[in-house]
Amino acid sequence: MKRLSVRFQSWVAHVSAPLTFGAAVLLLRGFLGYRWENLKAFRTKIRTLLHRQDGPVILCPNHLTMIDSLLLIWAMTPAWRAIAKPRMFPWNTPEKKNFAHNAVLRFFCYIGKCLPVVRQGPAHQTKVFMEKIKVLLAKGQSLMMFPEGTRSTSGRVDTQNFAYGIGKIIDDIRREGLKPRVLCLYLRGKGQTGKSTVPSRGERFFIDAELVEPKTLHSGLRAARDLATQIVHRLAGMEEAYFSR
Amino acid sequence: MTQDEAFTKVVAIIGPFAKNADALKAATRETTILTDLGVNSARLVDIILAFEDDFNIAIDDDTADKIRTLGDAVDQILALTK
Repeated sequence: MKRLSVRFQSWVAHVSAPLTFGAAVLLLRGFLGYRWENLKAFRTKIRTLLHRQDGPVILCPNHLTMIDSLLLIWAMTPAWRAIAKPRMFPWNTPEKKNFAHNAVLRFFCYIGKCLPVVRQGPAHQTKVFMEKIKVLLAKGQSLMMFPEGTRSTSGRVDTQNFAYGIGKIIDDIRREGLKPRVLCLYLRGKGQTGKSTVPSRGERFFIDAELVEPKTLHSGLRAARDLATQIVHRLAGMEEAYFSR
Repeated sequence: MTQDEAFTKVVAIIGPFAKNADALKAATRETTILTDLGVNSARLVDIILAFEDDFNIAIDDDTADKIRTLGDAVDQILALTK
């Protein structure tokens, strides 16, 4: 049943992709006036990195605003490619309480390939969530998860207080025999100094991507910590490179 | 190991992660780790791993999920060290 529901959502999302992408770009580019510093080069890089081989991908971006995933999806690919290659339109895992109260948001989250998550929720809910993720990744789709777990309060990648959830997911999925690749994404508005709900109107963004292969000799919680630490530290490295340009 | 010894050691392990110093000083078995002590939920994993290292035990995910209060932690640790 879970497999069926998530496959149905996937189908609806791809049929609706022109609408979703169109609405997102209209909002972000037309209304909020956002622009990219290096969009063409970034898309070429993404295509080069991801098209080398098929298989599931986990996207791990830094996190500064509430609309980071929307910006990242816009940056990654034009709508036509998202329809042709489902994994170029990643699944997202927003906190349920952030949108569950609003029917319009719930609708757009559904067609926007969102899997609601309840942080620190009961074990059975986490199990259902993990099942869905495994189904999607087994189908070679991509999943976007913010490895820090929340928006950074300092405005920099938080290498001290990040969550280990991403590490647990990678460890669990590897135990299922899947080998997801991890793509770290660094997104930053030129005027962004700390966390905010949305970037300032007219903001200009920088974006970069690096494939990583986190490894661990541990299992269980230690593996989760180990894997998450490698990803967050890679993001911190990308941030350092951005500021030292 | 007695309940009191385990409790003292548990409090010492959690101490560096607790944001509420007053609640830590007045900690009882019923004190909740996340709510009362103000421990960041992401740090709960570090605490569980510290329990494993300091008490030389292995805590599985299901057991870890049961630990909400200091008393829960003490009970689970004592059960695993028997």
